[in-house]
Amino acid sequence: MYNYLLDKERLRYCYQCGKCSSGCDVNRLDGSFQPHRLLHLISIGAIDKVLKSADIWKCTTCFTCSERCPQGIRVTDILWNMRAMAVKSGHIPELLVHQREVLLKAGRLYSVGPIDNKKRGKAGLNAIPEEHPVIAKIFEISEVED
Amino acid sequence: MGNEIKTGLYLCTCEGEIGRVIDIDSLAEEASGWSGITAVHRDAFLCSADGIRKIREDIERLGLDRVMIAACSPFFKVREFSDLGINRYLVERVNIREQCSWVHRDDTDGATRKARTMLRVFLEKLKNSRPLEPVKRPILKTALVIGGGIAGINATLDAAGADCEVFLVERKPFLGGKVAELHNYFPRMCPPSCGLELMFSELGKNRNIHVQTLSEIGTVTGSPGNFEILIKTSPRHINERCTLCGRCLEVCQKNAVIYPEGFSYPGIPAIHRALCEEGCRRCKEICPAGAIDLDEKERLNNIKAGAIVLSTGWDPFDPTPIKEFGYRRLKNVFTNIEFEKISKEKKISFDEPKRTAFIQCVGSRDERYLPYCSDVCCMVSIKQALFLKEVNRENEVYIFHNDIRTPGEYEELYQKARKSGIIFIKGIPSELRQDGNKKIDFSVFDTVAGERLDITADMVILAVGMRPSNGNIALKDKIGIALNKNDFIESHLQCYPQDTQREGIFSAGSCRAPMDVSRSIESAGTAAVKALKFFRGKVEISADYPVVNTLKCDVCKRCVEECPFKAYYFDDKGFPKPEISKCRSCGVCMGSCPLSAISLGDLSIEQLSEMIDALDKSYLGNDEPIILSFLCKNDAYRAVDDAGIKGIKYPPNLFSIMVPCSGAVNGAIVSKAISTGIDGVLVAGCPDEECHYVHGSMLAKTRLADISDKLKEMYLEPERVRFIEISRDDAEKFTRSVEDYAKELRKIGRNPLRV
Ligand SMILES: Cc1cc2nc3c(=O)[nH]c(=O)nc-3n(C[C@H](O)[C@H](O)[C@H](O)COP(=O)(O)OP(=O)(O)OC[C@H]3O[C@@H](n4cnc5c(N)ncnc54)[C@H](O)[C@@H]3O)c2cc1C
Ligand code: SF4
Ligand code: SF4
Repeated sequence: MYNYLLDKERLRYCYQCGKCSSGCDVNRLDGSFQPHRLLHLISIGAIDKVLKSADIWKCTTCFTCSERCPQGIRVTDILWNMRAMAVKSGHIPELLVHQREVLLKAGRLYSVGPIDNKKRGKAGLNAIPEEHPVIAKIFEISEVED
Repeated sequence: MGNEIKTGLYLCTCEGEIGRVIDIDSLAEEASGWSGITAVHRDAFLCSADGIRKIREDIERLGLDRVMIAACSPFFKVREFSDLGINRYLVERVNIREQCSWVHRDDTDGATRKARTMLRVFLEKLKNSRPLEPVKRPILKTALVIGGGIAGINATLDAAGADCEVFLVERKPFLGGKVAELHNYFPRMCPPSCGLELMFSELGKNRNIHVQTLSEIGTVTGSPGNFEILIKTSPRHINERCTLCGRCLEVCQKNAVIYPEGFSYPGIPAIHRALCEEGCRRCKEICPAGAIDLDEKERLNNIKAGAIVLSTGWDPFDPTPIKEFGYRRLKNVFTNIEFEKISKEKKISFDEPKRTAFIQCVGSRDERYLPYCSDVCCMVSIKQALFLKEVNRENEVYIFHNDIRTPGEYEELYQKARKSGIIFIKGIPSELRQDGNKKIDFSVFDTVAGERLDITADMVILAVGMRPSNGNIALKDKIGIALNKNDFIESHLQCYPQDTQREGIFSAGSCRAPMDVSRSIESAGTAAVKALKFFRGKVEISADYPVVNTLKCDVCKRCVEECPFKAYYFDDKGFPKPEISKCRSCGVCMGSCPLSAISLGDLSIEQLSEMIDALDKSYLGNDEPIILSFLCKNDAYRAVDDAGIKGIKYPPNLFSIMVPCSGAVNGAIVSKAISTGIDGVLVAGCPDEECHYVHGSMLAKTRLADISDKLKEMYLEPERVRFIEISRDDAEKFTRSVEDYAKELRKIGRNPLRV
């Protein structure tokens, strides 16, 4: 995967011009998140640092950087791939582990409980199933190999 | 022609370099009994005066009509063996040193067997060699220069200064190109008038020079040395009687009068009729000199020229498509070329201090637009930033860049800019914004500080790059030159930057690549010298050009399409024929012909076929594989020679034949080799972008892949044919591949077609 990124994703062509970071709204809010820096770390082989860092989870996938990069580097896709690699290597932020569990069970990020359905009933709304086994199935069959 | 040739075979032991490894005595003895061999001579030092004398005497005394020199590489001792008193196409050099004794020095038996086979094969070639004479054609000592920018002007002056007649054709009303539009130019910061005025006065004085402005090329016919060019000249509507009183300019309400600047050439205005008001004749009526003719028509004239220099220049990149920079949408965002005009004509006030931001690499070094560096923009921004500092020291100037490139002496200006307080920031803004007021807001990530900066500027200058002018594209088909992937004029950049791919046509200045004034002038000088060199004597056309066998040809036009130099035309019987003055004898057509109907003068399809027949497929016994390789003359063959020179060894299983380009190898020859029992065919050519013949090696690669597929269909191993990319310096790579290939072929087993 790593070599694939280097060869196919034009990572090696990054100028470090910083145009990606200049336009990144996450960077505006959190200066420590610098897409160009992450690309640099990946291209010099310090990918472990990137996988362990919380930064890769901050990208909103707005694609602004990818659209404007003079080298046509698909920055967003790369960061997205980093997330997949981080999961594979076991670097998953605590919050996400929890979210995944909820999602698998309930099919949504908010887990609906009896209290919620009671409230809904009072308001004249349908009850929502607390569990959604189909979702787990979807996850299972869409599991992609590297 | 049969076998009744009389060949003298000269075997050199090279003071042991060859003799120590190859058993020359036994070869000599054996060869003296071969048909076609009249005399055999052994020498320890064949290239010495005595050795050469011996060959010359034998030719005369014994009436030899062929000479075979088995010694060092044909690229060695070229002078010594060039004048033997026999047509050079009847002399065959068999390379038993670099490609035999040196590389097989641990295998004397194998080396001797291979050398014997080489003698056999090249003797077979000689049987069908013909004497050839170069074709000589006179050259017209007149040059045509297209494009009157700084490059074209200098090419004209240089060529005319060496007593050559020059026609200079410019499509605009005045000469000078983009330089005339600049405010001043680096590194000396002189105004354009300074250099141009001097050049114009020289142009005016020299009677060898004929300038035609408002003119473009219609058609180009003829061939290198003898071009005939039709020139179309649009009417100027004002003639030499003009006294520059300026009244026309005053009365014209449509800005249709294009008025010269103080130094312009020619110093006569022009009228842009398309802008005129219907029926208006005010200027004509007021002109006291009677210089205006509003009904003047387009003129056509023909000129003849031996050589052509292209100097069509560049155009600025239009940044509108880079939406995030808001060019044309936002106020006070200008391109660098617009800023030249702004500063020249003082279009904006510089009294109030301003904050100006330059953004570098706009369009340049950008995959989506100009994937190359435009060469001048760093220096241009520095020049313009310094100007801003000069007009008002309080001006704040930022340059946002990717890298600053100021090579050589230009570093001095960069230092000066630093000293003057111009701020350089490595970081490119992602988007410019403007709300209501005329200021421009943007944020930029300063990659060195590791921080985002929020900037508000009064003016933003986009340092746009140089792209080739549309003149290149306009001329491409008219005169049959090739453009590179960016539409600049193609050349072999490092060896022959000023030569186009057509004989007798040269390029000068920024139509070939982005360049500044100083390099444009330099390249103009080179182009002029190239043209002058071309004018000396006659066009001598090498005699080895290809000939089409019209009995075989079915006019499929493949050769016409694949010739890298567009040399083919159709003769009066409708058959393709190369215009030999355009041909460079690369043989790509020979390789292309599906019916094997094309042969080079010095290496015919028949010769190749007979050489393969003569090659003893079991020269190393029944079990060893034989690899027949075709090596391109410019690179692969020399790389293989290098292996010998560097003392790198490879097994004698490799048998090489030199071809002008890997693209010259015809599929039929490869098939023939396989069908007669050769175990592996290896074609070695340049990497795509290095090929001396544009796309020869690329074609070779695809053709071989096709043959490989065919082998599969015939239940033969597709690995039996192979293409490898070999650069001039790839000796090691080549010998390693040969060793690997031999191992691979041993594993695959003997070619079942070997008898
Ligand atoms: C903003 C900017 C500022 C610059 N400042 C500097 C500087 O300070 N110093 C410096 O060294 N360099 C500078 N340069 C670079 C400089 O402009 C070029 O080096 C120079 O113009 C090259 O000259 P040229 O003759 O090759 O091309 P051009 O100047 O483009 O001249 C080409 C001429 O050919 C004509 N032409 C084109 N096609 C045809 C055709 N088909 N038939 C007939 N005529 C044709 C055109 O009309 C034109 O007159 C600057 C460039 C830019 C972008
Ligand atoms: S914009 Fe592209 S080239 Fe520039 S730093 Fe970001 S990824 Fe690298
Ligand atoms: S895609 Fe991610 S990294 Fe790129 S600009 Fe948007 S948030 Fe920033």
